[in-house]
Amino acid sequence: MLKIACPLFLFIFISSLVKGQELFPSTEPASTIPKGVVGIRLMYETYKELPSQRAKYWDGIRILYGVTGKITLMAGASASNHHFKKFPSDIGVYFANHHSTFFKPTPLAFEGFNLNIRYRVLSFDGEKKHLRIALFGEGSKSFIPHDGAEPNLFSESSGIAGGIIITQLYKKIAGSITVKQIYPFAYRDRPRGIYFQSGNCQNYTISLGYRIYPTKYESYNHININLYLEVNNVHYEKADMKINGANYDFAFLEMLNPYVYNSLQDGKYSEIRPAIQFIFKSNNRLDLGLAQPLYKRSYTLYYPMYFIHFQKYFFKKKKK
Amino acid sequence: MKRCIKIIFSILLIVFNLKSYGQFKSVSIGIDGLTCSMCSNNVEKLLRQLKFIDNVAMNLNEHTAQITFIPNEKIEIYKIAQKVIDAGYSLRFLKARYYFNNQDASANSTFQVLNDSYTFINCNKTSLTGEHEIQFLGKKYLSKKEFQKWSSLIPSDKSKRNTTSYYITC
Repeated sequence: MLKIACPLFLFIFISSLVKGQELFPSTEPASTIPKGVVGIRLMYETYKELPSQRAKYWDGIRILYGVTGKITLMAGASASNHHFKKFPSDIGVYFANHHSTFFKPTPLAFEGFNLNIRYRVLSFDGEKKHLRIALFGEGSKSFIPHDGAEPNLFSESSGIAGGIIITQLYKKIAGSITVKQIYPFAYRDRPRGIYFQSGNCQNYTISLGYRIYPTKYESYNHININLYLEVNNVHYEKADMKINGANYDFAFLEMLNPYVYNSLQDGKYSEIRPAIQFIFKSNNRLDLGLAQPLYKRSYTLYYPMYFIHFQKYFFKKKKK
Repeated sequence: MKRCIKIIFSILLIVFNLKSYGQFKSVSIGIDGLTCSMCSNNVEKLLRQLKFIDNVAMNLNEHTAQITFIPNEKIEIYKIAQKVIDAGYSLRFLKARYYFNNQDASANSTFQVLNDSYTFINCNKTSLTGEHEIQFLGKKYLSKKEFQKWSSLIPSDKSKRNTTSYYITC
């Protein structure tokens, strides 16, 4: 009885202190950024690639701009040590060994660009609450050869995506659902006749956010501490590869390297992303978090994956 | 002679304008949809971009703001509402402290400040003298629920270029 009562009491006690917060680290809320405001977001993600014991990292930058109060434009670029600039000449050896020390990826390869536009179509505002719905579209151009079935438009894969975000903020609860459909474009190395197509992908993300400090605002200078829990559900189709027009069969990898074989097949997984966020002077946002698998896994990374994001807004000054 | 008349006319216009600018004392606004200090900061920073605004004192818990003005600047109330919308939020109310000089406040009576017209709707006084609070009515100045209560009394917006029509109550 005590075993149930204690956590329940603790949950009720914590719930009474927290307030909703919608500045989700891994997804965007349906809310948009203010008109004319420029924001910058720096992102860093890292994990240990288990076969090679190498530290893998990914760096991204995103410039945010409020076109109107309802439209936000985001332009980004990224670099990482995940990839080669081109597929190596022996494709079979590469797929069998690219997570081992046998292959060394480019230390810092520029991946590509990403463009995202978000339009808030509906707002139901009330005192200390709102329900908002936004539509978004995304496009990316990647310059590196992504080698998995699961696409990632920021910026491992070229492609387009679109979706809907529904965000509800009501005092203690901030919840958001993001539904996204991704259509990746094929990677082509025409001189060598290589064609690689990642699968189409559906993402469903559920995000929850809580402000734990301060419980009551007194000034902009109060540090805000927020906790987030995001569950990312992904479903993708298998990859397709052709060399000089002939289908490339990945069957040899099934026994040789099941991890890589699975990364090329269709799949689905859920991962959980807990994070803590600090906001300094009501403008400087720092997110620290990690990703862990809940159901199956993503084959584009090794868990746990840690991330750090920093974001700041820049406002126009008064016209004299 | 023509030049002399022009100068006198200009001086009169400036004096009249200075008096008109000075009649707004302050504005208080309530903002809907806000829940965080970062969001309040966004609204405040946008409001401070307006050249007639001197200070914005934001209440971070009640999500209201007290706005004071720079003397002798033209006060454009619709721009305050627009900045809140541009920040991604909406107004719950917009009330102004205004200095009246024996102003007829009966239903549909109108007064002009520079090019802008202010029409009284449903004011419980027939005339106003001294400093009084007026509330702005309209889609941009009220919550959706509150606007529905007033919508039958507010005519459609007749604002033209360089002029703004406001509907107010006291």
